[in-house]
Parts: sequence; structure tokens; C-alpha cells
Amino acid sequence: MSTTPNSAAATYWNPILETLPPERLREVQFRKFRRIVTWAYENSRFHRAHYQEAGFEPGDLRTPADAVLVPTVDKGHMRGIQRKDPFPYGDMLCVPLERVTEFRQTSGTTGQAVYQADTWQDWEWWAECWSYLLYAQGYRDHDRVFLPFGYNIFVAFWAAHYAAEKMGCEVVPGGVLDTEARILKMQELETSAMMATPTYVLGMAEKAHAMGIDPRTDLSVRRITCAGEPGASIPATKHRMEEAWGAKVFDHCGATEIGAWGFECEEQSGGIHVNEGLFLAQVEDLDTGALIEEPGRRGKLIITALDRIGMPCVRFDSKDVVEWADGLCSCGRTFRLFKGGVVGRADDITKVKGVLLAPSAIEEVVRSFEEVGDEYEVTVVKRGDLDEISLKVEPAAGVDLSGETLDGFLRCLKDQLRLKTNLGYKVEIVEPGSLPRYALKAKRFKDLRKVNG
Amino acid sequence: MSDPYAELLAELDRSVQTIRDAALRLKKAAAGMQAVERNADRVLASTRMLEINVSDLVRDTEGFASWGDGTDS
Repeated sequence: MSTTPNSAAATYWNPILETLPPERLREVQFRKFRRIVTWAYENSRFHRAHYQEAGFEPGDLRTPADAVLVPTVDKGHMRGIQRKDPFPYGDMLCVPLERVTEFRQTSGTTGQAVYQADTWQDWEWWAECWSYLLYAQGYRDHDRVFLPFGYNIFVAFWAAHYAAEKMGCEVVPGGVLDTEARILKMQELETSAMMATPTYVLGMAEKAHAMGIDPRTDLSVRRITCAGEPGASIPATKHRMEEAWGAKVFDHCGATEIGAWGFECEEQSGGIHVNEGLFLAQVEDLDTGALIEEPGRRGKLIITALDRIGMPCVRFDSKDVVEWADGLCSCGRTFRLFKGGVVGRADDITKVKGVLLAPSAIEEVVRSFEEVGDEYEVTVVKRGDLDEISLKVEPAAGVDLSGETLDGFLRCLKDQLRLKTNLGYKVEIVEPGSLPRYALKAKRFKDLRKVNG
Repeated sequence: MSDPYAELLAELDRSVQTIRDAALRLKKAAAGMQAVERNADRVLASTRMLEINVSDLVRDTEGFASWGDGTDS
């Protein structure tokens, strides 16, 4: 008689893989890593040339420690080869073009957009990645899930749609509806869950209130999954969203070129699980590139999608800044956690007045003050030889920021900003509704020093 | 310590291989009929997800769905 994981099936999408003893998990990961490296080497002209140039070949992978021998790939490499044959993906493609069923592209936030090809197997795999994360966040077949996104060339929540279907949820595509129509449809259908960027989650709540609808009491959404921005792992922003909707808000991490590699589980233990069954995550020192295995030290995430075949993602330099958490999550998964999720981007962290600054640290402070609204804007400029950093905030609805209240508020805000970021800010209170509103990913941090010359 | 799920995984893996073999046979026998070939492709892609969840834990698999039409690599 087989041992059965029936009791654990209520908690985990795959009760065996998600609770595999760590040493067994590492062994499975290494076997799969060796397989995908060999696949890329044998089927992609780009990977073969890239590896040969570094003097590496798949046979060099003898132990898990050898994984660092594989040269990394970044967006620059991908941009350099695309728009060439096989058009438009170039030499990174590992399958004949007729096997490609999906085109997506990155948003181009950090430069020229990257094109991504997927086979149908890859698309199934995307949905599988999302199934792990949605199940961990409590989605079940009784959920009616609303997806208020544009269903376009960006991957966004496409795979979430397919995963929710696979799990038996009822999926309501919010496609081209405007925000008002989406809110009304959610109210009409009593949808129990939704997925959006943190910016849009807060923007929808603001719009709902303007329509006379309180999401907490007039809508039925009790579970929200975020993507696209770090907000759901920033405690103050998560708190705002949960308060506005009366719902649990969960984070997830992923990228077009990588896949959905990480998720927050129902325990909400302050970290993001790496799906180590489907991905190999390595953290490297930002300066030296040395591998970081211990908790408490921040580094750059180098990640491999172990099962993606059309355009493989092998040792991809994600630029995400992460740190391993100490110990495993109380949920019982043996998939390790990144403490606080993705805490920054290697290409976002910038020096202001000689101090290293991550924009997410400003968000954490600003969103912790109930006196201010959801939008804010940070600008860095050069005055002569000196950097100047300014912050604009709007008062929250019904809050009067004037006189002594204003003085006290500004003092507290500036103190907290100095404490968390080691910088002094020029703070300005602006009219409610005067700051830009964003539908998807927000651009609230504006470094104008290069623009100003 | 012995693996408590070894027997279950082996049993599941055998069933996964049966599905994969059947889908490949189906595709080969389709004589170019798209309605059969393309649906067999979908079965193979789904079967690959079963391999990821089951078979990869017990043995080395090919890592792709074996399209069985000469475009495998």
C-alpha cells in the first residue's frame, strides 16, 4: 500500500515536491539544471557561442557547486540578438519557429522591450507555476476570480488566467472594460478574488469610493494577488490595500523572461517562497559576484527556469535584490524564502548625496502615514554640485494638513525618512488629485540628474 | 530514512509514461489528420506537466514533450 499525501493535498498544489527534504530537492534541482543547460547548449546558437566563449561546456557540470561556472545572461544579451532570424527572436530560440505558439514582450521599463517566445508546453508550464502560487494563497475551485488587466502583449496575468481555470476557479476576464465598469461587474458578480498591480489595486479602491462604493462592504473580494511592482511586499502598502478592500493581499514575483518564480503563502510570514521545484535561485554578492548562501546578506538574484524550453532562461541576471530568510516557513514548505520579497533592483539602487537609496524604502515610509493619500512623487535633481531630493504627497481624503498639524506631520515624516534612508528631504504637500495616476506600473521615483546634465 | 512517497511516485510515473506513449502512438497513427495531431500535442504538453510534478522526482526525463514529428530538436 502506498503512502498517500491526502491530508497534505488540502494545503499544497504538489504535497510531495513542496515538502521534499532540502537535500533531495537540491538533487532534483541539479539534475534538472544540468538538463536545461545541455538543452540550451545543444539547441540555441546563442547559448552555445556564449558558453564556448567562456570556456564552458555542459560536461563541466559535475556537482551542484559547478552551477556557478555557467555564464550568466541578461537583458542586454537578449536585446542584442532579437529582430534577427529566426525572426523576431534571434539565436536564443531552441525550437523551430512553428513550435512557437505565444509571443509576449517586456514592458520596456528599463530599455528596449525584450521579445519572448513560448511553445505550448511552455505556456502550460507558465500556468503550472501560477497554480503553485494561487493554491498556496488559498485559491480554490469555489472562487470566482476577476482579472482587471488588458490581455495584450504583456504577460501580466495571462498565466494567472490559465492557472485559475486549471484549478477549477471561475474566471471573469476584465479585459477592455474601464475601471468603473470593472468595479460594477465585480459588484454584480460578487467576485471573491482579483489580481492587479498594487498601484491599480489602490487606484480601483479610490475610484470605487468616488462611485459611492466601499470595497470593504459593497464588494466581495477577499483575496488579492499582486504582481508587477514590489508594493505587496512593502508592509505599509500591503496594509493600505488590505484596509481598503477588507481582503488578504498576497505578493508574487516573476518576469516575462523568467516565469512566475516566487510567491507569498497564506502564512504571510514576511517573505516570498522561491518555487524551488521549478526554478534554481542563486544569490550573488552585488560587488564580487560571490555566491551568498546564508541569510541576512543582500545580493542579486541569478535565476534559472528549470523547465522552460522555447527560449530558455538559464542563469538569468534578474537585477532583483534579495536576501535569504533565516529558517523555513511555518507553512511546511521546504521551498526557501526571500525575506521581504524583492527588496530592490540592482539598477534602481542609486546614490543620492553619496548614500545608497532604494526607492522602495521611501514608499515604506510614506505609505505608513495615514495622513497622506496613496500617490506620491520623489524627484532627485542636481543643484550645482549637490543632489537635492524632494517628495510630494497629497493629504488623504478628509485630512486637513495645515497650521500646527502640518508642522507636526512634516517633522514626523522627515524624521522617519531620515531614519530609514539616511537622507534629508524637501517635502511639499500638494492638492489632492494633482499627482499623476497610473493604471499599471507606476513611475513615482524620478531621477532628473542625468537629464539636467 | 526511506522515502515515504517512493511507491506512490513510482506508480504515478508508470501511469504518466502510459499516457505519453499512448499520445505519441496516437499522433503517429493520425496520418496527418490535424484534429488528431494537434490535440495529441496538447495531451503531450499536459503530460509534460505531470512529468514535472511526478516523473522528474524519480528519474531523468527528456524535459520536453517529444513532439514525435521530427522537430524534437
